[in-house]
Amino acid sequence: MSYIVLARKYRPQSFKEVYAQDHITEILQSAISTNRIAHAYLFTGPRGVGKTSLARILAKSLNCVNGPTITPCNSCSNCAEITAGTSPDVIEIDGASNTSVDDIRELQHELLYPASGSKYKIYIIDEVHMLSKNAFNALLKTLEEPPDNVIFIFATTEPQKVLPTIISRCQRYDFKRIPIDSIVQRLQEISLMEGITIDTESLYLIARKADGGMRDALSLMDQAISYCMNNITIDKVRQIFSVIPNQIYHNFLTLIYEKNAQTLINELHQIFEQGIDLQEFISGMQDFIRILLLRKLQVQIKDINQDEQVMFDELAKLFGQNKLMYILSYLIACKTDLKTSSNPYLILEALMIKLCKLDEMEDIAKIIEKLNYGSITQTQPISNISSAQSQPVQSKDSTKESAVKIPDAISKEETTVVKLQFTQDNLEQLWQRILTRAKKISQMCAIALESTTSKKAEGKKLCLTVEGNTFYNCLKTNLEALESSISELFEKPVKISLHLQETEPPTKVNIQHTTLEDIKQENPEIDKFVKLTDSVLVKTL
Amino acid sequence: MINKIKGQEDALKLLRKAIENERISQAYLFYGSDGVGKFTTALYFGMAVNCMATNELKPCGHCDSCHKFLQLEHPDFVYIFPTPNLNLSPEGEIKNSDALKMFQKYIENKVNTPWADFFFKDTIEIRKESITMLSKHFELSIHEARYRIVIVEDADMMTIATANAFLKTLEEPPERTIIILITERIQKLLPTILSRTQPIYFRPLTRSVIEEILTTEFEISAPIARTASRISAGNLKTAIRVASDSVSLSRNWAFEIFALAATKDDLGYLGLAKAYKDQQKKDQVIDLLKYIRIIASDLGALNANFEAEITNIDKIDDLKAMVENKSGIDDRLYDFLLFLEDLNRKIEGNVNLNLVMTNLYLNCKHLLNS
Amino acid sequence: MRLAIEKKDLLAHIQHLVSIVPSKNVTPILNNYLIEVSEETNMMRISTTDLTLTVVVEFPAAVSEGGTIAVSAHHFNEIINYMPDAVINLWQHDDLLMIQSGKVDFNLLIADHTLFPVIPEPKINYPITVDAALFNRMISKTYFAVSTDVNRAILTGVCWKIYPTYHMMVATDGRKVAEIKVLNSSLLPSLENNDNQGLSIFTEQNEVYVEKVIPLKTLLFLQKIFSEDVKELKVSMEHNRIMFLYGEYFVSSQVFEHKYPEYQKAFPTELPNKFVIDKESLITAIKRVALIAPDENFRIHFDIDNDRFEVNTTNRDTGDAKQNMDDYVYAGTSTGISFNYKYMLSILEAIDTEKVVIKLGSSKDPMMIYNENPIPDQEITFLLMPLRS
Repeated sequence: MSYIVLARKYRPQSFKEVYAQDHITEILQSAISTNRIAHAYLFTGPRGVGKTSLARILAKSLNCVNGPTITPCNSCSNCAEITAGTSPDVIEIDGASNTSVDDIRELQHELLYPASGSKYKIYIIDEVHMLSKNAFNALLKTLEEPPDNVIFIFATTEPQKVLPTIISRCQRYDFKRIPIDSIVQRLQEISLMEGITIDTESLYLIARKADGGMRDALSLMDQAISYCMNNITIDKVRQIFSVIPNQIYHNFLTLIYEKNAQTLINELHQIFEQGIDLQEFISGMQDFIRILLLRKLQVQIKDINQDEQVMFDELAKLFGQNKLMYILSYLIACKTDLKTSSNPYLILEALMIKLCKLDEMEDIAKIIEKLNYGSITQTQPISNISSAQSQPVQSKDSTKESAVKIPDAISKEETTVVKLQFTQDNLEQLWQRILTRAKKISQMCAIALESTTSKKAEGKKLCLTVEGNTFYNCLKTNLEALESSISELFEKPVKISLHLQETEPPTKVNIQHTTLEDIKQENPEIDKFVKLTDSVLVKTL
Repeated sequence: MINKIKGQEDALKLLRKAIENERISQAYLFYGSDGVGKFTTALYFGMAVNCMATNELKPCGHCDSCHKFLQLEHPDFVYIFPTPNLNLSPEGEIKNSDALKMFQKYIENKVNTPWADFFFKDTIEIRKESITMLSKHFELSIHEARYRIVIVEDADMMTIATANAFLKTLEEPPERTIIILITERIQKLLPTILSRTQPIYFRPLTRSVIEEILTTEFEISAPIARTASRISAGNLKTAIRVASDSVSLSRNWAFEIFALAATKDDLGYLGLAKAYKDQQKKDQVIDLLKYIRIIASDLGALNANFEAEITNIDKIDDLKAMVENKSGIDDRLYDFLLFLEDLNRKIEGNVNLNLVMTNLYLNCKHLLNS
Repeated sequence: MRLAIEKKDLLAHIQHLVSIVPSKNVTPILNNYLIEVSEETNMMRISTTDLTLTVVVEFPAAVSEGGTIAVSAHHFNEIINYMPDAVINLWQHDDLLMIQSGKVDFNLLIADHTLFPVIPEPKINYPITVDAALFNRMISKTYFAVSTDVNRAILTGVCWKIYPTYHMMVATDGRKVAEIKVLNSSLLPSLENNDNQGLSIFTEQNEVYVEKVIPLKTLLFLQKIFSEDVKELKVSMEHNRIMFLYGEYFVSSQVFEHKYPEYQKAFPTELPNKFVIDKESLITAIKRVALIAPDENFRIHFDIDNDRFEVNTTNRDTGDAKQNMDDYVYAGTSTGISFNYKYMLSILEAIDTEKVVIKLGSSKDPMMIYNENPIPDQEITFLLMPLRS
């Protein structure tokens, strides 16, 4: 005799064995007791909650030789035939295999014959949502005026696919997902009957993984039993379901915090070598961060024990709420990317490196605030992120004041306006900001400023050399506005002295524009245009 | 024989325990990425429970029962896989001789070179007729085996109608019957299917396992095996295919693109595009992207000073030249990889390949130069 | 292997065989014959199976070298069929089967015979012996009532039950029942001797009986091979199969493993009305009226009392028809009943006597149909469910 899976062995055979659906079984039982039996029932609900089982139980209750009764005997020939699926009067139809109008016609033909040897002729149509629209319509007429003593029981996981006109002719019962505690209780009973010891943690892990389906829970339990036989422990269960230990996520987040990309990648490769499902890994990490976030908000969480709670709390202290949110959003995006990716490993690697390079994100509000104050700090974090690698090169020749390395934790004081000395380095540093300010005066002015061939800080003076009369005149007219605008950025007011660089008159009329660089040098506007539009030189005249 | 399956110790242990404890389930779901040994394990598992050898490690691979399984012709073995419409009758007959020929070609390929994917000309799916055939088969009692074995490969390719029609059979198969569903995309299966099976996860093969298989079973040289193992993302089938392309056109192509992108040599790129015009085909470009990915990730790693992580070791000097004086590649890498995924989808959707290639080049340039 | 055999002999042995061989099956080995020849016994044995039904036929041939091969059944049959009427020489050469007779040569590719499904030894232990003609009769009285509904596989077979004092066959599709009982007290005792042979013996209310639900296909094949010459059919049963030995044929068939439903529940305990009428004239009348019966349910109606017996039908789409019957004997009250005329005709065809006896109650009760005079040691019962009005 081969082994029978638990879900079949312990399929409910009476109303009281149908778990956590009391709201339905009570009504049905009282309907049977008072002989108020409907023509058509519709059982809906997610997988593995007892729809088909209850349909069979209802059929037995009605057709049992002692019936209708709320306690079918399960031993008379009628009950036995229903269990075996051979009863001529209880016809179980797989709605998914018999979807066509012809199948329904066949059914209607069958309806012309009265029950032989039982009280009711009962049709159980499972997966009824799969019937074609025409089949539904064919069924409608029958449902409206069903022959005497004919009962339909429909079961489906997807009621939204059933025609509303069908639904309105049925008594509808919505089955609930089975709560974790009910699953645990049932698993406990079954382990008793099977003579199996199992710890509570395992029960809860299985019940959680079952996600509201009793059959899922029993399938998982089967797996645990087939692996561990009579003694199921949490360690083995974790192993079977490849649950990734929290310690691993803890390591990962610590490394992200320490920005230790090297070790992080090594750890990641170890994970790859263990062959963990990357989707599971990301989901696990999301859950982990969720708990961190909740702990940060001081929310009590059932899922974790005391020791873990301490661990989570300590880790949570290292991260700002925003940073956690940020990591989480990256993980969520990454999870969908992984699904379609042809080489998910690379994506995950790249993501981890990116997370390592993440600086403490600030509130958007804070950034805006800083922008308004025009503080130097607002440029700093951005350049820090985008050119982290090139930073050391820069810092070599930068002076102390300008190389203001903003530490990871930004103190609030720094958000106030810091004015710098007017030095060449600071000038270079702030040049971009100066241009932005110039833009406010006029677009032309900014372009003129940008195209200066040299800019020098000499004492309080800013010496600019300009090429071409147009730009020179432009700057000249806006000189005062520029001076006051630039002065705001530095400790002391700045004066501008303009020099016009005489351009040599073109010696040749036809300039041979050979390369893009030539053209750019020749004409700054084209350079700008090229930069903006990412154009490529195709051909020169 | 079972030792031929490498890198799936956990899955094998679960199955072995089930046999030892006489708790073999009626329905399993083997899930995990392609080319990691799911089908082989399923077949060997079916062979093991039916093997007639007495004192050998089961399956023995040469008894009558094993022989029939290995040829996929055991009377108590039903093999269901995605096919074009074959008009399969419930009795398991294919009347159309072209369709039958195609079917036999598939089986022949599966028996002889299981690592090479067989492609049908038409769109494929698992049709309701396969399940009807299976139900018909289940009406019979077992012919000669101890356990009847059913393997449904690429179970996620069942149409909604097929999957729903399968539910009854899957939940209550006849006794001594083992149904094994195989899928790479478990998230595409109906929850009603999942809930009726015992899931068993198959890990992607680790790089070291793939390298080992390539060098020992297929006699492939170590450097090529290394590159192949990285590109394959744990998929032995891909690895074998990559490794057996001895002179890889795609690889050279990819390096040339990057070399030009590094120096922003746009004109040079135009020349390159011209030179590779004939290679510019859908499959070839998809193949190219695989190498682009690996090289990009190498560049990122070099940029972040993880020299030990480089895949293309033989080209390390070229790679170093490309990243010289560049910064921020590792930051842009993530977006670049996503861009490649997107590009892949677009190519699958038959976007103009000229545009794809130009876009690819510009993005390579952007990756290397901020 | 190497052997010689007269064409007409070989053809006679394989002509029925080919009907079972699947063609273009996804398990290609099933499309083949397994041919085994033995030098010691000078016998040729050909086996074929579609997994439900396995048939082995064994007959003498002039064997000069033993061997085993598998070869495409359809090709083999057709080749033999078109061979000249003479001695045919068959021998194996590498992976070819050479078929030669006179100036005709065929080289037929052979398949890997080790892939052929295991064929049970054509031996019958502790057989039950039944009269082949009687068995044939039991089949023909019941086979038409089997169901075609694939959702309830067990009803697609015919149930053979053996009790200590009688055995019976029954078939039903839930709309009609055909049952034949034959008194015979010699079958079962021989069974009890070998309980350990894995027989499924059901015990109910202290009654011991054997029950096998046999696929229709198997019974129809048996009918095909039954002949006047061989009287004895030897039967043996195992848990999930039933085996027959008839002449040179060995037939092994799978059986349906579920218990047959208790169809007797549908038999009414008492029916108040009864009429007797000439079978042929009733058949003619039904066929006549049925010309315009509705296609969807083949409904025909009897209206009957002591003075009037009307067969009629009404079809909304075409019109109506009626015939009044003469020469009938009626006992009971006035009643009417609707039924599917196709089912009624199939039952009437199975009636042996010139006159048929039909018992009926109200329009909701089933009809019971019998031979006019019982046949000695046999009891034949048909039931037809009425159509709801």
